Amino acid sequence: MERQAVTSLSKISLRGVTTRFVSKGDVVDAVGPIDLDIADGEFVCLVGPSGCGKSTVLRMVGGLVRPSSGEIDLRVTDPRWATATVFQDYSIYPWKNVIENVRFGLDLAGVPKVEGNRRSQVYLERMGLGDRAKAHISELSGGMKQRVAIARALVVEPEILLMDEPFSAIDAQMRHVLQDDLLEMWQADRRTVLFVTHSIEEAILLADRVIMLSVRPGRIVADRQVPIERPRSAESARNSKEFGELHDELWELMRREVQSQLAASRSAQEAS
Amino acid sequence: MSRSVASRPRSRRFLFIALCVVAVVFTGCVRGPSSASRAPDLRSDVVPVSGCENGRTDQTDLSVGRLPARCTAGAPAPQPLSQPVKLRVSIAFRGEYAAPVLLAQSLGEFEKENLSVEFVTLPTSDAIPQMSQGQLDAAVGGYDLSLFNASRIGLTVRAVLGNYYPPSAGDYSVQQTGLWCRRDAFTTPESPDPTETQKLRWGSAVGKSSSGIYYAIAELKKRVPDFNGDALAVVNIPSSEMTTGLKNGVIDCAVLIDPVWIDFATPEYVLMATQLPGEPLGAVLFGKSLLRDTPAVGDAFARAVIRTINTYLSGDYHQDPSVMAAIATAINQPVALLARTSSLTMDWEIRQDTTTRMQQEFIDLDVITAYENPVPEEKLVDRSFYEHATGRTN
Amino acid sequence: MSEQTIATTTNDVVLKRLPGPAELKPKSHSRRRRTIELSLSIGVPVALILLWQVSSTREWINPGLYPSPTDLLRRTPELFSSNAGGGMWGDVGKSMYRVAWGYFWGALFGLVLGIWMGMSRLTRAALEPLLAAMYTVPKLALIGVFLLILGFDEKPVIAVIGLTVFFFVWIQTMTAVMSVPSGYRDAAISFGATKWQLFRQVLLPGALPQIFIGLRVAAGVTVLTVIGVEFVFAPGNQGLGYRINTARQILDPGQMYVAIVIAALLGVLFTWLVRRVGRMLAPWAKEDEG
Repeated sequence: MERQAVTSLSKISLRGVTTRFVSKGDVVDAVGPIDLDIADGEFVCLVGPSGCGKSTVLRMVGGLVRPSSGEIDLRVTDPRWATATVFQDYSIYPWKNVIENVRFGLDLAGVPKVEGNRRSQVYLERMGLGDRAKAHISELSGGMKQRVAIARALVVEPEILLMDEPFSAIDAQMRHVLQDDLLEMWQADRRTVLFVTHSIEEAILLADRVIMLSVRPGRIVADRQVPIERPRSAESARNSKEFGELHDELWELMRREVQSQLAASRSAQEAS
Repeated sequence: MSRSVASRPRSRRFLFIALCVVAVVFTGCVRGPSSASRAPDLRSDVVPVSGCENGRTDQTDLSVGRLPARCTAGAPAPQPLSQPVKLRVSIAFRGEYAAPVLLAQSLGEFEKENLSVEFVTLPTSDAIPQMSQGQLDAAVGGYDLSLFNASRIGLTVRAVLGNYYPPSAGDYSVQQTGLWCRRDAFTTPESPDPTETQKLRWGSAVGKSSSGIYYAIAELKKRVPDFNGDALAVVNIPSSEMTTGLKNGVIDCAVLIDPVWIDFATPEYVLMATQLPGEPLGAVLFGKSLLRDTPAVGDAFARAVIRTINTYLSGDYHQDPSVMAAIATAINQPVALLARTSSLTMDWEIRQDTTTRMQQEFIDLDVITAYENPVPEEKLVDRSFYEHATGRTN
Repeated sequence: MSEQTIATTTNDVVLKRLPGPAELKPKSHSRRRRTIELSLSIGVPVALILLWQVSSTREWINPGLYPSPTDLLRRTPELFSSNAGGGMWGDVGKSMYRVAWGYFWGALFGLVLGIWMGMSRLTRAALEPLLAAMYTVPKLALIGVFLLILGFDEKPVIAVIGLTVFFFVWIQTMTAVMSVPSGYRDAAISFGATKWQLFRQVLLPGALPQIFIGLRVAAGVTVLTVIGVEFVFAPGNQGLGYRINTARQILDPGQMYVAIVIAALLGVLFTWLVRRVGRMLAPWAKEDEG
């Protein structure tokens, strides 16, 4: 297993992070312990079987959930805009129109409306929604809504972009389009990105580094560099030999994890 | 042809359902007569009745302390109907005023006429439509707007027998039913000035249309000729809260009936208006079945009630323990409570123009707005039943 | 290809899926269906009114007890111009006054408490069992209690109505706030929203459509309750409920039916008004909400 060299100059660093919760009177270990370092400008994908806790890790980095033990450090210049999150179900507001949604983070920070609109318009253009600034959310398709959500996250210029299975709820064709768009945009500004997905293919396509978590309690079972060069195009990446090799390796690993999970639950059933 | 098959039955089905709904609603509105037809006894002419030589008074006499019409006990004698008849009669509430009718059943006087009566408790205004549709034969209650309006909308209802008047009505030295006021509402509590009652707040559950308010104003007008009923402040209070309202000062005056007034016969309160002397303000009403279909049955009913009055409820009947026991059972009140008030003067006669005077007052007070002139007495009152029973028409 | 036909077993049946009348002539079929639906929606009420009119004038039912629609129309101007006790205008005015104030106070407290309890687990734990128990007590039955406590004027009436409205609005508002999708909250928190910003920018707009459902239901209930209370107690002897009850007691069915129709119209108008305001304030809500 390759490991990133431990350095205090990591953008994101997790030390002994665990998550525990109480269910029906029992304490359940959900995640961890996890030790992880992510460098500035790295695109890291977190994959794993369902229930492994990958979304929880993301939410902890984003500050929505606190770790049960351990510590997460984010090395940033402006704490206000340390992270911005793109959610799986878009979570954009139907009572605001497109540009008001994109402006949301800036509004909360007290940025004047005119300035907010200007900056939001720029990102809408970049997401291909420049002419839809005043449109109502109900008029948009799923793919468009997610693009609004991405624009909303980017407009605040976060030092770390967090994405929680952002393309899972979108159809395959649109997903490819959005993956291409994301690749292109990221390659332009090289932000630090932590991207959670259940698709190994997507992970390898987008990331510099793929980290796989085990079944509950989620621990790191794989940490691979993606050997495909940048700048990448989705097309060529998918067809390359390195893609296939890494894909097969991670796929096999995932399969074993899922099987062990099935076996464990079956024996638990037989025991009861 | 085939293309409309699918759509046509569906719109037909809609129509069918709509018609069924309409039919159901319609049949609910139309009611047929509830009682099976009775073989009619023929109504006889008015003939003198033995024992009832003094069974009639001057119907215009309204003097204080006047005596009611009376026959000897047991008169008029029963004339049983050829076939047994069952009647349904409503009373407004269980009270001593209804004793003649209630005792006629419980002491067997109806039975002597081959009648049996089933009682229900129903406000007069609900009883009248039922009587006009034949579901009720008679009702006992007070005169009120529902009777006057009934004739206006063409329902067949008449007052045929009076009920009672307080023997001391008009005599202010006697504590009794009437308009009771708080003494401290007057400028001179020791000798309250009747004129001031116009400025006090009176309580009523039905506004100025109550017969209690009517007689209080009519009585006060005798002492205060320019009594202004229009300006009178009547406060809407549910009957259950009336006494509380009077005690708490929400209202200054209220009409209190037997035995409610007894609690107010204290120095803090004063009786400002009694009921009208010698004038019953309630009646037995007959509906279509007894007025038109089978008046002979109506006559039998009247005979039984009048005989009950003459035999058990004449004079100071509160001194007769068996009568008191019978009344107590009939109205579900303990004898002790009953004994705290004095005997009522039961009066089967109907004073001349009682209904006319009452309507005129209501018209003047703007309580009646639907018409300007009182409905004439012949449309509201039918004295023939007690005239047949007593054998006296004048 | 051989001439021989392939034999099928004679037991097989061929099930056909064919176009029906709706598919063969879609335009005329849908137009026809819309016409039928429209004629029924108008036709059925009109037919019933006509039936009533005919039954009353032809005396299939007693016209004294069941005045016809034309009788009622004729009676209406006279009732409104009557001076006695303020006439029908006085009744309408008083009832509207009670509807307005009762609704206002009830909705105000319902909204405040609903939002507060929707946002705070502690407040919910403290107050919900109490309020849930009081929800089912028929408020009309409490009129006697309120008369004693508040006196014999408009106050107890407004209190009973306000209380009824309060419970409807409170429970809808609280559920509305609690049902704002957690994703909406997460997004706001992830962008650094303060508690106040979370409330104003996310919870309030998010809950608004469902809050308006509560407000709309409460509006209909308000008119019902006002009429009901006025049956028992009507300060000043005015009010549509008082009029209905009194007209029944004195056997004036004409007046009673006119008052009933006006009360129904008042209810429809009020509910429609609340709905309009809801659509204005929450235009993003789906058609059957707000």
